[in-house]
Amino acid sequence: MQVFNAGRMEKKFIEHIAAGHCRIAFGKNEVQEKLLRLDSAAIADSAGAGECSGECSGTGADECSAAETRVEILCGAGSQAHLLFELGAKSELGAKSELGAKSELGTEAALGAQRGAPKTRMEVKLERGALLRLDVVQETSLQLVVHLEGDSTLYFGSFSVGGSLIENDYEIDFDAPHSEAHLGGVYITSGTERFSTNVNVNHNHGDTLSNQLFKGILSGSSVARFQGRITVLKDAQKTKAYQANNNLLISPDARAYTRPHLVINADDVQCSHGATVGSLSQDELFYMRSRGISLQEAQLLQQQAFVHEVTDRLLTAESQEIILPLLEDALRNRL
Amino acid sequence: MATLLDIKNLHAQINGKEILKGINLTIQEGEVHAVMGPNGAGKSTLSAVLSGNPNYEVTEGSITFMGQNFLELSPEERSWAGLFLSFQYPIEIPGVTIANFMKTAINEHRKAKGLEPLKAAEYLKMMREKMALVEMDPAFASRGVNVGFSGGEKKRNEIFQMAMLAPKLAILDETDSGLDVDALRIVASGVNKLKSSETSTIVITHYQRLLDYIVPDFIHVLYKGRIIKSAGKELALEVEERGYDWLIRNEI
Repeated sequence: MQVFNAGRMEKKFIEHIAAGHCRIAFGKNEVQEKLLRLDSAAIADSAGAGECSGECSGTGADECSAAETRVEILCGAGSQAHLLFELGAKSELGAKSELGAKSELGTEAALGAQRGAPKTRMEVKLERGALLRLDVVQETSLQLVVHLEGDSTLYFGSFSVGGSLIENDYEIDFDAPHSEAHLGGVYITSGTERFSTNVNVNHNHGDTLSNQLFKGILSGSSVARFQGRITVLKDAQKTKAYQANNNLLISPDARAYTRPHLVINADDVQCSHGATVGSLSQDELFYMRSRGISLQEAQLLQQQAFVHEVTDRLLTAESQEIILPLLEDALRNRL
Repeated sequence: MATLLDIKNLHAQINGKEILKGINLTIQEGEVHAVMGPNGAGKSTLSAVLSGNPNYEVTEGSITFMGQNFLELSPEERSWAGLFLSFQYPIEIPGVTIANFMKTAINEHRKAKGLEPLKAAEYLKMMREKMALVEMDPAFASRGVNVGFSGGEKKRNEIFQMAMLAPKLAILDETDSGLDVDALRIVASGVNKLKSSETSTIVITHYQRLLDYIVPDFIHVLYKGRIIKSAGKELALEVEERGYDWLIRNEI
């Protein structure tokens, strides 16, 4: 599978609707085998955000009229597509040059990230039998709403290696039986970054499956919050809903708050939730060091293993090629 | 023949409790020493202290390895110096494959010697060779380290790692515990193939059985943190027949 570079190539899939609002649509039974890679610039241009191409002039984020970008994704019945979004104030996500809230975006954009930060709203509709793989690499917040018709499948992965304040809101609605949603993500935070994830999965119909795996590695004095609510309606029998949030704290001042919440009104269901906040296993570390693996490399191996559980589950080989190096670099240089 | 390991008056404790109460042990190149003793004698503490396990504190004495003060070295530095410990209870590391684990270990050893990392093809060839040496199925390369392994498979994995790292001094900590005769044969065969006149082995064992396969030059009996008897390999048979009681009674 070919991976296109961001920007020009993907224009034909994006339709401008209004200022700051664009739509990506796949027709009935349309199978897009190629991974479509889209960055903020491509979306912004298509969304007609000419007033702001993503670079603030320095007069303050309040003046930026494209502070929220709205993206509609319509997957026609039987269609298949794979989208990889890079959300940031810059068109190219690169490794951060320093730990903490500062980034290559420049001071103005970094300040903007702290006040009314640019954020993206994605509204996704999967019609009957559609399959969508949605990978998001984000430096800014994402609000996601997904409606699933029958027999449809969603794979959604969120990957964040830096952003001073990110607040994500995901809502998944099962509007018919026999569909599946596999969600998850990796967040690597450092310095004084704040990262929060709020997930709401609504099993409005039975014979549906949702599976969440969100993992974070926190250093510095960063803080991550996870709230995950699963609601199963009374007649949504044979629902399967699983959720897990695991946090690895590698500095004494990092903090993780995690709260699952299950509202289950049907009686023939399989649901589970798990949350952990911990640190690297000392026994594993000693075992590795006794083989000559230095402490730093041993910790890296453990962190990579921690992260791979998510990437192995949610990403294809193509998106792993793009996302794994980003995560790797963050583990080596940002923690 | 050079002195590989010299332990003098070693005292060590864990959680404030003294376990080793003055161990003296000298090992020359090319020798096999067995350390036997009842449970609680301090056998595993000895191997933990030699490998630099941070849970244990050395309160007195010295450990010299090839002339170097071992107590100053970190666990990885001791490994680079040529020490290998086959754990009694090998740790599971989910998410880290055996291939990746050993490749990292090998390359860290090479880096310590100022060498370039092994090329992928060279590494694969080496890994396959050593897996064959211990009759390990190549499919294990992509499995998480020790994850879901049976007791025998874990011990075999230890000897595989030993084969890859080619240590000067290997400590086998109760390598025979939990093994059936077949697994024991494979493990012992691996160890014997790796022996040479320049390397040495400390076999820590509760039972005499393993010593039929890995024949020691010297046997030391450890009891309550001290070596109470040292002799040649015939001592193993006596312990097998009469237990440890007669030795302990003599000591007291």
